[in-house]
Amino acid sequence: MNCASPIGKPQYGRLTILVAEDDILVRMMVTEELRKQGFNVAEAKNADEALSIFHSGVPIHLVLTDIQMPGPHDDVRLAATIRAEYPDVKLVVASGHLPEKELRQEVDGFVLKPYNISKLVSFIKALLD
Amino acid sequence: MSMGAPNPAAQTVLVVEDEVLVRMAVSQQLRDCGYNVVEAANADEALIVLEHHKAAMHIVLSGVEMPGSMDGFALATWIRKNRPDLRVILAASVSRAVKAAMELCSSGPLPGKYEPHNLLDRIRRLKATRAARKFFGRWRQFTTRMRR
Repeated sequence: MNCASPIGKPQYGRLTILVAEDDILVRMMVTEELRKQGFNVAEAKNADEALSIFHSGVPIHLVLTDIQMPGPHDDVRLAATIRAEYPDVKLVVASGHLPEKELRQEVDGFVLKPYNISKLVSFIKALLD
Repeated sequence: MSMGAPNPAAQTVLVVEDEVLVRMAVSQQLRDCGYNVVEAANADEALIVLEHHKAAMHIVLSGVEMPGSMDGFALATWIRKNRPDLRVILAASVSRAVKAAMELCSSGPLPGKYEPHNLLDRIRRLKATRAARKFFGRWRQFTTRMRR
């Protein structure tokens, strides 16, 4: 698969972020901003879709996931699965409330919703730089 | 993988598809061809986008059979009544969705030599890899349980 985006800014064009978010309007806003910054972005509406993308072999460098998403594969298990099977992938959790301490220790970052999109992007860039 | 940055001058395509790997690959192809793409996992999400998103939308490429309160036909009917300015393309199968994406590409902002079978092959590879990894994941869980 071609890794370089013909349109994306070159400095982040080879890094792919998976955004797992069940609210379509939030997902649109975040993915649009990340693409503007030059990242490749894959989108999932729930934990099952996110795992599908992982299992399909698409190289993912960072996951931004909501932890209150509906679906049979709940989002806390998604975070645990990613940690166990893909330990090199950066994991950032977004939530409307502070997650359990155990989960916070497992992830690379936590952002409280509603988040400031430019601060979120800066945080993601810092994690990937 | 190429999922380009939004291009303010390009037309925007709303891709409505419940199979995530098909939606991802088709959307990626359209972005490679220079379109802006918004991804919706079903008709309900598409309606939210069309009702609440203020940015310009030009084309809706939708599957037909989808989970949720409406299918692709009902979505197309809603669009014809409420957003007659939009062009609607319904694709009843993956190969038809691929064909539609390629036709959009041929008249898109970055026309190139895109072959439908390449995109179809990519989708098949993504699905096959997912199936294999799911199988081995279950096998690993099973053997781990048996060892306990």
